[in-house]
Amino acid sequence: MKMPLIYLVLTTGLFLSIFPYLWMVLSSFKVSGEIFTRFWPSKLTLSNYAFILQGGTGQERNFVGSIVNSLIITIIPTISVVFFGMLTAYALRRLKVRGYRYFENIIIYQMLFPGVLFLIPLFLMMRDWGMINNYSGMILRYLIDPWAIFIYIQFFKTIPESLLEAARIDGASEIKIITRIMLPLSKTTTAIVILFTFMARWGEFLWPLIVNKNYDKMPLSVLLALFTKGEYKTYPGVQMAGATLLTLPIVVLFLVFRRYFEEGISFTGLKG
Amino acid sequence: MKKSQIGFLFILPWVIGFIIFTVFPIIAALYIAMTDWSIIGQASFIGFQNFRAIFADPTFYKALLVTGRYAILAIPLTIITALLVALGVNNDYKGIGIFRTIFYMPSIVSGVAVAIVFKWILDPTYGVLNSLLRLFGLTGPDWLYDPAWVLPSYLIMAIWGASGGLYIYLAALRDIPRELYEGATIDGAGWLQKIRYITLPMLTPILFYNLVMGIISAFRKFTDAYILGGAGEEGVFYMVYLYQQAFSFYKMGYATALAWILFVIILGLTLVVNYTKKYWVYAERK
Repeated sequence: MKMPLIYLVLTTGLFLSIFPYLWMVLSSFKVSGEIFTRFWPSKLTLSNYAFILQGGTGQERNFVGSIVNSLIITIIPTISVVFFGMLTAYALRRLKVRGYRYFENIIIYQMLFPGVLFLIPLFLMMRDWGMINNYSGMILRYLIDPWAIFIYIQFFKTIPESLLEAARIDGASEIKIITRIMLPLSKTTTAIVILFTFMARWGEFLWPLIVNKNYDKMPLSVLLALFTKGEYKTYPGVQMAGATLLTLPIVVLFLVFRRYFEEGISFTGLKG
Repeated sequence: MKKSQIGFLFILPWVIGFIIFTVFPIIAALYIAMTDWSIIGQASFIGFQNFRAIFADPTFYKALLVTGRYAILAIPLTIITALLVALGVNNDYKGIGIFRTIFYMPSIVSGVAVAIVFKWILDPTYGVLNSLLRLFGLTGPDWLYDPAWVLPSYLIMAIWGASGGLYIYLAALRDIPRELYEGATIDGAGWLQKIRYITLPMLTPILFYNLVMGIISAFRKFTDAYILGGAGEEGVFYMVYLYQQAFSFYKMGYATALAWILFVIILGLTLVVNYTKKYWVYAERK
């Protein structure tokens, strides 16, 4: 194929692809009269952001707080998923716990099992444990992720046993081997696990919607969605400001760690 | 401590988590589906009554129709779009990395943000899409506000997001041995023939994988459908219906029975697709 033609086609596709983001970001800085009348704003305003962050409808909905909530229910599972992912994978693959092959199969089934079925039993469980309307209800079920264990198993397979034996002869404990040898060696894998877990938890919608009705504990995704359906229904500029805030951290992460995203997907194909 | 004991200690958290968050809920779901459990009050065992009620409920069939119709159209459309995008950027042209990055972005951005943006792009009066159509002298439809145009609205969003599947295809394209193309060139094959006889057959394992994933995600569609809805009942996808039953009407038993039906549908379709595998998916001879 000739190059200019393919560039033309790709550029058209690129424009279609990027247009919604562009429109979202531009609209979030527009005065309300210009959102639907101009593509490029004649002047920039921060009023939409001020409105959303100060809870301008007098509803006192705390969007700043919701960003903090999002970070809490994102960062805690992310750290925990990495920790337990390594710990479990190390025990199965390197310490070869009795029946490890059997356990590894269970992990794959657990990973592929559609979570739809768990939704209501888990909700009722959280309710009985008094975990409705607080962080633990939103976090607890996400502390260990079979996908992360699976990825670490794949990587730990490739590390030569002689390296671990040498450390053991020097008197290193198994925990020390994990933190001093396995962790530094699996930087790329860990980056992939962190990125995809962060993304999944930050964008999470259905579970926190169900398990938390308390406005002060809501993550940004849920608060914004409820507002779009409710009080802010007729405020496109404010909605775009919220959507931009929701999108921004992920796009920044993506641009900074693009290499890992590409690797992560060709590595497993199981997420994203 | 012996190595094996330490090992068992290390996997213990996962074992406990697995029992509490996977095994137990599945067993509980079996029981809950057979009760009239609502959020308050006593639950009593009612056997298969929930299932009987579901199969007599026209809303159930409507939700199934909305979801199934969407799946049948959206899955091939997204697979073809992603494949075309991947073929387009599978080269070393200058600046191709930027194209790849932007085409991939829909798959990382939160579904909530995407839904909110499309809500306004598809707005009948003010929306960008209809403004654009007006430039060409056309009157755009009411999209999500017109029952007949709800499905096309969701398909537009699906196609827009499809390029996010890009990297899986790129990885698969990279794995196709170069000699195959070189041999074909010597035999005088054109690029269309190469795609037909080399690229597509070699991509069938990835197409298969995306087909299975497409079925699962189409039937689990929730976030944008919940936020955007749609005129009439056209926006009530299966998961939205399930959510309403469970958390608007507090019919936990009924909704769990719905979850089982969804599970069986997804499992059944996956098995059917898996059965057809041997007829069209390329398998490397070991």
